[in-house]
Amino acid sequence: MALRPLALIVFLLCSSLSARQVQVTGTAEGQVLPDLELPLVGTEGTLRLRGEAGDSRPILLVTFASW
Amino acid sequence: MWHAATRELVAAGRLRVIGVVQEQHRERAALWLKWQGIEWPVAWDPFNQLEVKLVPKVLAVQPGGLVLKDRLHPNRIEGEGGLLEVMGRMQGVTAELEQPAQFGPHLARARGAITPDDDPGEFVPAAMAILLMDRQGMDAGSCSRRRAAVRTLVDRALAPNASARDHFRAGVAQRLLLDLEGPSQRPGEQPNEGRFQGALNSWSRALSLDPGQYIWRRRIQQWGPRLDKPYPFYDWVPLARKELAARGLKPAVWKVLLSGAETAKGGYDLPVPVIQENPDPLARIPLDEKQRAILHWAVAPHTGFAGPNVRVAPGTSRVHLSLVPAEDVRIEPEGGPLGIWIDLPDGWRARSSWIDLQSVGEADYQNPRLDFELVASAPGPPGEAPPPVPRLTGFVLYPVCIGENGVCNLLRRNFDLDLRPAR
Repeated sequence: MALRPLALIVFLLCSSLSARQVQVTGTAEGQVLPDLELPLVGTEGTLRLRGEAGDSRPILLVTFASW
Repeated sequence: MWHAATRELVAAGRLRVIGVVQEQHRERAALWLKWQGIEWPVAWDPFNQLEVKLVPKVLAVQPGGLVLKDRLHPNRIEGEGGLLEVMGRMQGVTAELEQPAQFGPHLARARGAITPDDDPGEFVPAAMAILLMDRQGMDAGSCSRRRAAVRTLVDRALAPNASARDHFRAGVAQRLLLDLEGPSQRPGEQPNEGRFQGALNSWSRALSLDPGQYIWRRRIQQWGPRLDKPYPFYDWVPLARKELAARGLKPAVWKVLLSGAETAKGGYDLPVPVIQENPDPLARIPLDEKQRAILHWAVAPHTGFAGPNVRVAPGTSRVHLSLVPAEDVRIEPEGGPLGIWIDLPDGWRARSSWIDLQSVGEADYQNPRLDFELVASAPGPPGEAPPPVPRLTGFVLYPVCIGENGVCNLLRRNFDLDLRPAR
């Protein structure tokens, strides 16, 4: 009997985690931008697409090619 | 237009504008950015890890990474769905998201010093990170690490459960290796196993599995036939260099020069052949039996093989040739003709059967390169397989001198190319 509340807690935790995993990565509306860090063009260093932790600015992301 | 509209928002710290270029060569994108005066940070994504299918694509992303709008029109600033309205919706909203940071650690490791046992193993993200952060060193450690990374990506594409994306990335890796280290020169290597052909074959397999992926299609078309080009890819380069020079800016020297295919304009006109005589019809010029120079080649197919999304019928190819002399050998253009003779298959066209290499830039004499187009005279309808032209035969003539003051000879090397696109 004592195990039942524990099982309930485990169930709630797991369902909470699985609900968070539903977020799909991608570039379509409602999806989450992949957490990519890529080398910069024309200079040294890298760029983390989602921004660094604590950066609360919205992002305008333009993907293109020079051709 | 929004580039100007966002400048104030960026300066006020209310917006972050970033770019991602979907190109094989980072230095070409760098020239374009410099020429266009683009100041916001732009990242290089040759492996298409962002997984976009076409460009340009403008996204509005909430802090935290949630994509609020995926098709912002570059010229729409005001009104519903315009930049300012979308911006307003994003202000002060931070999505609560997981921050898995899957790729960052691999990149951090790739940035570190090379260790003797540094090998990406089976880890594709680690392999891509190593190639992205490659310092382009040619020492044994750098070459070994780079080749291991390429091998990881190529092996991944050979796995039974390989995806279209795996094939594309294997192609990107092979082309990166070619640009850094040149064509592979393993003894006994068979035609179509070279790095460039390997890249083209991998991209062709990827496109066959996902014909709607236009980033991948363009990667083949970049080196492909003129009849398959939606536009010239890099015809803007001379103008950019000229204008930057006029502004007193000196563009960086490129390691990888543009091929003819990359500056060619698209079009429907077929080449009118110029009749020329075979310079060695009786094969009297001695064969290069001592491997004084190695001929490398690759055939870029018309992307019509992958599906009906083409404007002209498949069947044409762009053939890329490159001659790499041995270490103690010089190619001396004064020593005789330097060129290629092709035996055109029945019904096929090229601008000429004899292609003169004398006109290449002086700096290129030690690695003459050339690309030319082969056109099927009666191609099938779009979406159908190319006509069966199994092979292209011919020979290349080159005058070589051995050592500083050594004897010079005119030599001949025969070739036999497989023109069929990879499946």
